[in-house]
Amino acid sequence: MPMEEVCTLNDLVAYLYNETELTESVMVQQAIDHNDEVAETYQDLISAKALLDTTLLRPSDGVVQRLLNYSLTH
Amino acid sequence: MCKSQSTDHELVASYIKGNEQSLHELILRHQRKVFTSIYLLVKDRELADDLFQETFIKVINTLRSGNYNEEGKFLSWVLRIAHNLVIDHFRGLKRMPMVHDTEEYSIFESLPLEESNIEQRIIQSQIEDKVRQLIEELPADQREVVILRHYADLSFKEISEITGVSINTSLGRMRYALINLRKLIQQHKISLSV
Repeated sequence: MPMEEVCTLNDLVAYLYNETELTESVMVQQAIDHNDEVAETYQDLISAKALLDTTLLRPSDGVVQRLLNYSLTH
Repeated sequence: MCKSQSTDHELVASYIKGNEQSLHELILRHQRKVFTSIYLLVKDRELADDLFQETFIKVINTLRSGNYNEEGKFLSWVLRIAHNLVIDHFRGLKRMPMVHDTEEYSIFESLPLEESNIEQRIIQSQIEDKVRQLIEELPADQREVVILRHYADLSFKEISEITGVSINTSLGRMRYALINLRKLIQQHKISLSV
């Protein structure tokens, strides 16, 4: 069965980011469980999302302390 | 003293009552997502520091003045302030963000590694560098939704409100971004196993 008849790619993205309602979640998970094409696509999305998880930045040293000083003096 | 498991709501209330430590906790809790979101939009570390600072000065002033509206998540509110400041900055410059060569320092700081041997650190650093390049290669509308959804933790509904497009369009941009990233992973032969 073609993927678009099961659930849309946008449904998978919303599910990936936990933004589906309960009934939608059940529908998408069933599609993943029973349709190889959907399952493969979902795995690709998970891989791409994992890539984004590899990095996060932090402000330079001193920025947070300056904010705390600002809060104390204003 | 604040408990580490305090909610944002509790920390905000505590700070408004005069507990400065609660502000520290809020900043430490959210600094990475806020700063990464700003940096990926402006691509300039020093400017991102300035905008991060300006964002939290607005946060402090608003909380202190009693004008904070408790509707919605604290982080979403902070990120909305940051996003507006970025927009104001580029409106002021009347140009789009430029990519700066920032090789003189490590842009992406390494996340703590469970096993800290040198080889793993080098591989991790290479992955982080490639991720930065891949994100910058994305079309602007896709890059924006990646930053706002993935790093800034805004919902697709919130993104649609900020950017003035429908939720479906935001979802579609994220979908294309993830598919493009997936293709780039394959092209660049990036392995996520460190």
